[in-house]
Amino acid sequence: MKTNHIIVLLMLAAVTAFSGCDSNEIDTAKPQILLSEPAEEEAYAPGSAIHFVVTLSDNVALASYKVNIHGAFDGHTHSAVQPSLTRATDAEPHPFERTWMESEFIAQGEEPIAGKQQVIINHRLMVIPDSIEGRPVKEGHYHFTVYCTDSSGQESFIAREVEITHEAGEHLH
Amino acid sequence: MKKMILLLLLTAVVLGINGQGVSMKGYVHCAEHDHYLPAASILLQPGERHLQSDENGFFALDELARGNYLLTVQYIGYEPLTLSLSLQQDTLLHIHLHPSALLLKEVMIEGEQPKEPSLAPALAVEELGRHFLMQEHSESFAKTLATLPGVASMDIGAGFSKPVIRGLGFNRVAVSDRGIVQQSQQWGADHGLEIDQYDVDNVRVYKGPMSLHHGSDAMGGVIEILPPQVPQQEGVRGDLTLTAKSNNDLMGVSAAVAAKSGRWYLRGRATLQHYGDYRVPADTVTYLTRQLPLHGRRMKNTAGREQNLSFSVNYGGDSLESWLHASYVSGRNGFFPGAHGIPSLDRLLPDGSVRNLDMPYSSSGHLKLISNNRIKLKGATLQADLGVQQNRRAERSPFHTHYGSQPPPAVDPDLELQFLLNTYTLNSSILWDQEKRWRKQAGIAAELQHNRVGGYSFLLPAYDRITGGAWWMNEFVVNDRLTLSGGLRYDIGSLTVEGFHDPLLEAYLLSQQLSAAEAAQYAQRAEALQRRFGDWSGALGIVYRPSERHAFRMNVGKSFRYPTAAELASNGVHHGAFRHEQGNNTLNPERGIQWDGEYRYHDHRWEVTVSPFLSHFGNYIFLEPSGIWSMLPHTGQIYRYRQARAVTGGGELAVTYRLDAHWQLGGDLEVVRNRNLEDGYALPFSPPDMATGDLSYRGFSPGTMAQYRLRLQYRHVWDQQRVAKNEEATAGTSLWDFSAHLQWRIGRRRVITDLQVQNIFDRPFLNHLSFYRRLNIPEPGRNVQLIVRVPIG
Repeated sequence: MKTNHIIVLLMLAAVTAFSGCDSNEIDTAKPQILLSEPAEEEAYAPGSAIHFVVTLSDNVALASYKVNIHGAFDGHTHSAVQPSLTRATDAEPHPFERTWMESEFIAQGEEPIAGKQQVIINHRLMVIPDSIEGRPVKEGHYHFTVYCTDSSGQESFIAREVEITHEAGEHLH
Repeated sequence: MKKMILLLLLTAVVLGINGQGVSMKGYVHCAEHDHYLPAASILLQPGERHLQSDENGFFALDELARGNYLLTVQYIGYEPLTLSLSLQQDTLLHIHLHPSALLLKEVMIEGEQPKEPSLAPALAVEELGRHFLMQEHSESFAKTLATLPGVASMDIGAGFSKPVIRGLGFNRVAVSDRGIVQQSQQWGADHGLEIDQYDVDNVRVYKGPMSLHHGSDAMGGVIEILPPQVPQQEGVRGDLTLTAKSNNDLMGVSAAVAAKSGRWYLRGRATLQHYGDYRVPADTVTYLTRQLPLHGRRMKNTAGREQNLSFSVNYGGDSLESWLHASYVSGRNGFFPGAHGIPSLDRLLPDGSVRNLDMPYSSSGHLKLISNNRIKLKGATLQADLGVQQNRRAERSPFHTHYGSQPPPAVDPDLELQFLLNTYTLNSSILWDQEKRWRKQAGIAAELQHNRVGGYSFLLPAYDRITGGAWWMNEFVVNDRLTLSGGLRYDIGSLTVEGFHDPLLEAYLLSQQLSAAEAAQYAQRAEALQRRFGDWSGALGIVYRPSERHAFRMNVGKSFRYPTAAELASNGVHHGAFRHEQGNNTLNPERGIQWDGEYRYHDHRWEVTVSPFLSHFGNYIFLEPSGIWSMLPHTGQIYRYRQARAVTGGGELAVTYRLDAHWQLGGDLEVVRNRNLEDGYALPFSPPDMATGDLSYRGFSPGTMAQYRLRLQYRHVWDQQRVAKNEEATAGTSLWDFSAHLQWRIGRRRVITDLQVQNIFDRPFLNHLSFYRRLNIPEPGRNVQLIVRVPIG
């Protein structure tokens, strides 16, 4: 039975060897995104700029962010439109979709967030076009999504519904 | 004559006179073969005392009043024996039972596999028979095996899963069906194991490095499906199995017919299963911060159907034994539309039927031909296994595109992805001196893979792979207690991947103002490459049985795995995994040094198994978030394949305690710890710690219900907080299951029913290893399952 004990001890040692190593600092916390602008259901007119206010923070260091806008006309899908069936005419509105990488904002003068623990971003660098390829931008519900990573590759995002409509008033933020 | 068949030897030994009562002890033995019969049913009347012989065929009754008794001894497959006894003093009986001609037919189906001549590794191994597989029957073969400690399943909904052994899954576990390694798992995380679980009679699960026996991919272990046993007696027999499950309204039927005549044995099986959308104990799932409703608590469009056919022929000559197995496993499984691309509320609305199958769905067909041949020479056995398999898989989804300019294909516009893999395998070996103390085996293996792809989407590149290896193994029997084993193997391989450039994606990215260089880089969905690999593997093992009750095993092995085409060359969105995955063409074969130990103790009450393990991987391949955003629409950051030093360790503990002839308590604990030694994170898809406890009651009776076993089981799964970068932690859970295994004597027939109630309290829980974990989709809820098996003939 002595060998029995040795085996049990070996097994326990194998397990504790790993638990013991957990004292190494590893970061499992995701970055936090606090989106102040646009607000939920905020409406924008084609041709206007989005007022973007977001607070990004991380327990260690932030890495990068991006923003995406895409249509939510069919209840959140990107699958249903069959180009063959919807051969566009000149007058037909074009759904708008765009991803802005942080690099574009940096190119326009914004400070990179990489390495910082907390950053408040406040700019109007995202413009919704009036028309795409000569066709007006389709009005309706869109999804506005902000993604952020930290220095260890942890990712978070926040999604919000916005509206693109000619009826949107002037933004007084 | 009848007396000759029935009663055989009865020896009464005077053990001494006891003042109070007397004891009766005895052994139940087979009259034709040299073995004792465990779990034989013993009934002593008057007093209606039931008991069961232990694994040594031993039974004992104490404190009996002196007098006349009637003793009935029964065992499945044997003629029952009734004895009248006059007990006046302590008595020891030797009871010999004769096999019954009638019930041997059942032994044909339930019997143990024959011992094939090969050198076994000194690894922890679990051997499972058809009985176990039916009693523990779950949604898929891999999930049924997950009831073993140390084995888990990576599930894709209710129909598909792949096995995980001690935290190693995907291509790190090889499934060998009658000597040929089963393909299609290597395609990716959402490809399950295409095995008809009704067609498996015997299976061995090895936990530990097996590259010496199987080459690349067997690092974590091997699941070995063995050929069926050929019955001794001639004739035609069969069985019919009916299955019903409440969770997804499954109805299944599987029928087999077997005939033996002279040296020939033929067997065929057909299985049909049809099921509806599965139920989960939740009203909504949260995905992309949105609450998605699950109407009627069902996962819409997860219905499916399965049709399997298999056929085997055996020729058993004096010097040549040959098997030919042909099988076709096909299925069609719906995908939850919310898990295919960005979820849509419209697509989650009920469509009026829970059994229909709409797009998106996958269909698969797996055709396999295996030929096993064994030639007995003077002092040696020559073995040759040949296999041809074809894996077809198609995923259909209404044509959609992420890039506005992509036109739908002219032919088959809704075919999103298609894979077609042909694999040719040859394994050949020679075993000599098998009756001697130093046994030797040498062999060669070769495999050719040819993979082609199609569909309007692109995921996995087309590739060709040729691999081959040669090995030598030894077993040295020092004495009847100690056996040493070891061996060496070298493998070489060549992989050619076809490149794929996506001009539509390039046009889209250019329209998004990406630079020409960047757009071209993204549009190269797979890089053409040719790589050659070579690696050795080896093992050293010891098996020591100091006495009947104790057994030790220890094994140290070096194993390896070639990187896959996807790991080397993919670049793009994996829709199933919801992320941009990027291959790395500099990856080298993954290498591991693995140590495994096992200690087993058993006596008439206790059975204890402790199996610790510790492994070191020089370059474990895994997907890691890069922190760099993908420019592709509807993706997050790019995940890149990389290699890092890693360790895994842990073990399993299993204990069984027999309170008496009827009651039994069991429990097991499984623990896996792993760590990327370069950054301290856990490896992706690490199974959580788990413990189970069960209480069972079993008995026998001479009435209609010949044999029964009732079991209540409790499972506790701990939280999994040890996660890889950007992997979600998963909360633990506690689940209760109940099962009843009943054998009915109806006329001259024995009908077996297996009833299971899984997750009695319908508790919602997430499987950390599940493909749907990222969508917060819980596992199937309460399920009542009934399997009825009727032997025919």
